[in-house]
Amino acid sequence: MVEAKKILIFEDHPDIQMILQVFFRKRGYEPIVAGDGVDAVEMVRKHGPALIIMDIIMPGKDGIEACQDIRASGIATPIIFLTSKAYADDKERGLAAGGNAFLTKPFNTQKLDAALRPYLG
Amino acid sequence: MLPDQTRPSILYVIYASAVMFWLVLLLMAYILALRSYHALRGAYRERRKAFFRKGVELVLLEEPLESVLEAFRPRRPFDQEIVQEVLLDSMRQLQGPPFDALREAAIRLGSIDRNLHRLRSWSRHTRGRAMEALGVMRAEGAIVQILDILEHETLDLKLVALRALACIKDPATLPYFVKTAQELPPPMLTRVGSMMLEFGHPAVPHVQKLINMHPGAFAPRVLEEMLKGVASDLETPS
Repeated sequence: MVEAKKILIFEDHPDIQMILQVFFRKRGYEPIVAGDGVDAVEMVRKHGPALIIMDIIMPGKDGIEACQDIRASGIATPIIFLTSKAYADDKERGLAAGGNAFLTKPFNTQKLDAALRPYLG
Repeated sequence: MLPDQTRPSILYVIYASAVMFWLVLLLMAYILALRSYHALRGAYRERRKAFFRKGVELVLLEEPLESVLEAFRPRRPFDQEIVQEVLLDSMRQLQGPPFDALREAAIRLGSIDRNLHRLRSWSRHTRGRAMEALGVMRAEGAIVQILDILEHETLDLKLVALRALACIKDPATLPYFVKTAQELPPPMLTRVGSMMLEFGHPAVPHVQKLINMHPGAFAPRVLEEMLKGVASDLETPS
């Protein structure tokens, strides 16, 4: 049996955690949720996800810092920011930190699908 | 030594101390009971919310509306409010077909009618929450009522009303943003401008009018962001 690709979700909001888990399960992936970015690198090393979904505002360590840590450790897994911070500055910071795409909340599931396609096939 | 008539009786001091001691004890017991009540209530509501989140899951799994409605059906007292909270929490995060399905469920469960009724409440807190809920549910039928009460509300509730109108996004309400902005203190105008930009292209002339009316109210960085927003909307008319 083929193992489902893992998606690592860094998100502290329980409603969005649930929405994203259902969203990815429905598409045949295995979502793994982390409520903060503190142990981001260890989490990525442990689970080896095919894709990372990253919120920016999180307790402990924000998504930008977590993304920088992941990239600094040499991990090239695609990172998609999904955040309510919608200013152009935030997008620039996210992409400069090593993010591959930037989506804002509230999000459209169809747009999320389209944003994932280049990375998940 | 003090004369007898000015010296408080030792018995009086003992009684007063005892009364104070029991009062403090009673107050502490009251605070403890209140905190326990809030903790228990919070835990109970979280459990019920987790139960009703199944309805959101069904929406995301594109299950038929009837199954969704059954999942959201209130079963106990106070469930109606918890169901609405779950619906609103998810609607705040979603757009597109899942949002539409949740909105349809909210309509069928009577949430919009209940909140329209609450707009006439004597409690400003209730009116504020009703406006917020109607905004999240994009209840176009609430526009007239919100505009009606907008004039008479306090400043903080005016902002809640404008936030609700910005969520509903009927461009016909844009002149009311500019009109209401005249009554608001300058620090609030940035928020009003940002809300107006959520309307996209139709907001451009109104935002320009707002900036021209109160140029000093916008910090240079905020103004730059807003003008960028105006410019991008001019480039891509919807």
